[in-house]
Formats: sequence, structure tokens, C-alpha cells
Amino acid sequence: MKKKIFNAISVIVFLTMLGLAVHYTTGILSRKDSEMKYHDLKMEEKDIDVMFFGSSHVINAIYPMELWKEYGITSYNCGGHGNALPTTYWVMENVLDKCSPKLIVIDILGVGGNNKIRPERKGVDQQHISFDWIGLSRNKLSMADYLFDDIETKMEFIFPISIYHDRWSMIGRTDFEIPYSLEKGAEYRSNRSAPDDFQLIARSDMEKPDSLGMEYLCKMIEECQSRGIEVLLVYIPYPANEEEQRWANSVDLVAGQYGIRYLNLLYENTGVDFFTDMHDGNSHLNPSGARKITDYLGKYISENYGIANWLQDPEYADWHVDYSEYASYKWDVLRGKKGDWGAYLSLLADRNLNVCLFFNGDSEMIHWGTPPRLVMNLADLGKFQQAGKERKDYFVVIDHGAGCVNEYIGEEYDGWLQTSFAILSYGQRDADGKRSMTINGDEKNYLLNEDGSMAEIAIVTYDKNTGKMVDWVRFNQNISVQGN
Amino acid sequence: MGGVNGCLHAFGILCRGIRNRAVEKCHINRNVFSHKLYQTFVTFILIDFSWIFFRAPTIDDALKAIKSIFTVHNPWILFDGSLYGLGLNQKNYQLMWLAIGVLIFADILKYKGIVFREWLQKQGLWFRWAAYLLAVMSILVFGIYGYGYDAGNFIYFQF
Repeated sequence: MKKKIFNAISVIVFLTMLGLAVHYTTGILSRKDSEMKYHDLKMEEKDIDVMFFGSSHVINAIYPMELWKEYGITSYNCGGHGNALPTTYWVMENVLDKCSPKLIVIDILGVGGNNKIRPERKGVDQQHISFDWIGLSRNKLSMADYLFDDIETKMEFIFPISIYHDRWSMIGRTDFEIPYSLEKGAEYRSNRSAPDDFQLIARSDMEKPDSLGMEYLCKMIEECQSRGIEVLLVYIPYPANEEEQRWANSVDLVAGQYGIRYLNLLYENTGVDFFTDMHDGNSHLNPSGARKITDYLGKYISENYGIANWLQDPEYADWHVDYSEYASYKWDVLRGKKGDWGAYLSLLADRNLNVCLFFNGDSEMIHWGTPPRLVMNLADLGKFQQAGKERKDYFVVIDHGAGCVNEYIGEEYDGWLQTSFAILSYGQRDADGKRSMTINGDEKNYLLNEDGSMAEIAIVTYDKNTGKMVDWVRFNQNISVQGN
Repeated sequence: MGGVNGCLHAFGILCRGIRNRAVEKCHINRNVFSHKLYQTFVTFILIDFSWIFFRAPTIDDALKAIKSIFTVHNPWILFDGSLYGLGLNQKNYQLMWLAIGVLIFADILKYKGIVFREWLQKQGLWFRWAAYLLAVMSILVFGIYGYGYDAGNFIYFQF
């Protein structure tokens, strides 16, 4: 009898050790995208007030850190690449096992779809980002059982070593020191591309609300309401085709049925301009567009839901630290885009960035088709187009710190300008036809190229919050780039 | 392509008399290490040769591969990393050599009549459990299974 007990204990101890070995090995071998995205959510001890669910449109359109900075709202972006609404339902179910938000915002993209997941293999791969960070639980088992048809794919999610064991030969430093995302689930996609075409249809033009996507949207609403969580439905703007718009319009009926709000942002005045604000033309917003949507939603949520502003609460000091790390990341992205003029300009559309922008009147760049709209996107610039027409130098200081914009055409200004971030001097053209712009009495002329010639475009940027210079860059006709 | 192995085997049987007479005439001692090494080498070359037919999609491709062995001069591919582009990267290559080493070690033990399992059972508990865990984890990590692996797509699929 004693031997039997000893053997039973031995088996249990051995299996426990094996389980731990498998668990830790899986952790090392796993792809880290999921951990990177959800690390902050996993580690957050306080409740997060607002959670965003949906597809990549959500990931790229709503920045929780900007929402924090502007409105003091704690939020997390749980959007998933390629997520159909049934998948989003399961992401939400699993996230709600760990969190109790006050408000859930759901993007209804794909509401007319009838697929549980994106059909090709990529659909399965993308789900790993949404689910790998979650340990084995009843909801995770249910998710795997429902979303995937074959046992092998189900096992990928229940027993991830079955898919990740092949990574043993790729293991590197980042598998041990994981570069966690600083964006609370969101993702910068910082290119700029204009859509081919877009026609907004009448809001009354709808599809019959009968699809798997619609069914799961209703399930999500009911689940939230049963838990006492408020729901806001949104449709993130993008150049949707007519059928997609009809489906989005039909969500009005669902919202009415459940007595919840629905923001179809295609019809709202968000300020999004598909010419300046799209990352890839027909689908995802870039940071310029995302900031507009984030700002719009922040204001709307603050006004319509009882979500607290925690900015002054010392309990949330760590969110301020997170923001400063996030800001450093943003500026790194900006500095990395010097080779892409359009993308660089679109990244300047940031309330936390003070911008000094000079256009040389002798340059053809001021007349290009693209720049004027990208420049006008930065602020309400009344004189820019006039400068282009009259072929005069144009200098603007967009000072978000002081909440003002100072524009100068031609010889309008010669002297010192006090801003919230520095004292600028902007001089008239000298005998050689060169103009100067110096900062804080420094001798350096920020309008000159390395070879001493006048830059066609010169941009100096400052972090509004720290007062530190972020970047100095000069663009010239052939898009040669010079910068520090 | 198993026929190639059959032919080689039949050829070996038919030539047995001639080979025996040659061994006698040349006074070759079949029990020494050098002769065993020679036999191993010949067997290795013959089985590799038959595997060309085994693995190639068509007989024509196999014949082209054999021709290339003698006509294409590119010995540097053994040294410049080209081999890592044929399906096993460098780390998998290293693992392959390790696995071959384990196989040889097991063969030697078997040849010498040593039963590894019995030897392991005599060791301390910590050592035995570590060995068991290592074995299971090695299979889990280095095993060929999961997404992208098709059991029907093994080398024998053309058999």
C-alpha cells in the first residue's frame, strides 16, 4: 500500500515537473507578438475603464496613450488583426475573464460577414496574437473549439508548443528580453496613401441585418449588458465600398434595438481626410487619422459616459511614465520617416508636437499636388496657399504649448518670436538671398543645408511636454533628406 | 524505386562466389577493422546511390543527379554554407549531427550488450528524472510535427 502511495505521488510530482517544463519552454519558444501587445494589460493592477474591440482598423485608429494624455481615460486597445466579429466575441470573452471595464467600444467592421475567422491560414496565424497571451481557461478552450474546425488547429491554441516548437532554431535575445509594446495594444502604421475612390451613400440605405457577424455583434452587446458594462458601437472611417456601408448602416437598427449608442464615423465630423490620413489607401488609418478618431472618441466618451479623468490622481502616476516612454517611441518613428516626405508630414499632425516649418518660395516643392493638403492638415493655416500662389517664402510656428499658430509670408517678419518651447529668430533674406532661423540665440541657421545653400523645406520639431527638440530635417527638390 | 535496392542485393548474391575467390587469392583477412571499415564504406556508397532513385521525382532526374556528381565541379559548396539552403539550416544541421551521434552511441551500447535502460535505472532519482524530462522535452521541441508537417509527405512518399 505504501509503495502504491509512493508511486502515485511520484507520478504526480513528475507530471507536475513535466508540465512546468512544457510551460516555460512554450513561453520561450512562442512568438512574442501576443505578449508584446497585451503585456501592459496583464500587468495592470487597477481596472482599465474603457476597452476597444474589433479588427486591425481599431488597432490602427485608437491610441489609448493619446486618450490618456488628452482626457485622462485609462483604456486598452484589444483590436486584433483580421478579426471577424465571432473572433472579436471570443477575444472579449477571454479579456473579460481578467478585466472589468466600465465601457466597451466595438468596431462593427465585418458585420455582414459569415466567416468565423479569416478563411486562409493567415487567419489562424493572426488569432495567435489575440489568444497566445491568455493561459489555459474554460473560455480559451471554448474559443478554440468554436473557431477552428480541425483538431490540429485547436491544439495550436490549447497546446501552443505544437506550433512553436520549430522556433527553437530562431530563439534570440528578444525571446528573453521582450520589447513590450508601449502603445497599450494600438499600433502605429505610419505610411500615407490616398484611396482610389470613395462614395458616401445615404444613411438610410441598409442591408437586412442577417449574418453571422450581426449575430455575434448582438451576442457581444448582450454579454456586456448582462455584466453591467456599457457598450458603444463605432464604425471606424475608411473608404468603404457601398455594400460595406449598407451593412454598417444596418447597425443603426441593432443599436436602437438594444438602446445603445452607435457612432458611424463615416457620417460624423471627425476631421478625417482620406487623402492625408490613410496608411494604405483603402483600409487603415495612419497616425494623423488615428489622432483625429482618438480625439473624437475621447471627447464623446468623456461627455456621454461617466468615465473618470485620472490625470491628477497619484494612483495613476505609472500611466504618466508610460506616456513619456510612448512619446519617445513616437519621436523615434518620426525620425525614422525622413525618407518618406508624405509620411513625415502626416506624422507632424500631433498635438504634442510643436512644429516650425519653412517653405522656400523659390522651390517647386511648395507647388506640388501633395504637400498643400498634408501641410494644411497640421493646423488651420490660412496663409499657406497664398504663399504658394505668390511664390513667397512661408514660415509657420505651430505652437500647441501656447495654443497658437504664427504664419509669415515673404518679408512679413524680422525679429524674435517667443514661443512656449524656445525663442526663435527669423530673419529677412540677406544679400546672398539667404534667410536665417535661429533658436535660443544659437548661431546655427536651421534653414540651411549642410553645403550652406537654402533648404527647400526645413522642419524643426519640439516635444510639447518636455520642451526638448525632437528632430530637425531639411527636404530638397529631389527629396534628398538632410537631418541631424 | 525499391527495385534498385533489390537489384543491388541480387547483384551482391550473384557475385558472392567471385568476391570470395578474390578474397582468398588476395589473402584478405575479413575479421580485421580495416576490412570492416571498407565494407561499411561500400555499403554506405551503395545505399546513398540507391537513395538518389528513391528521392528523385523521376528516373530521368535521378540519372541527371548521378551525372552531375561526376561532371559538376563545385566542391566549395561543402564549405560556403550552400548546404544550409537545402532544407536544413545551420542549427538544424548541427542538431542532425548531434542526433546521429546519439544514434551511434546507442548502436555502440547495443553492440557491446549494454542495456541503457538498466544502466539508467541504477542511477540516482534526480538523474533519472532529469534524463526522462530531457528525453520528453527533446521530442516535443525537436520533433517534426504540428502545422506545416504532413505525415504523408515523409521521404517514403515516393516509395
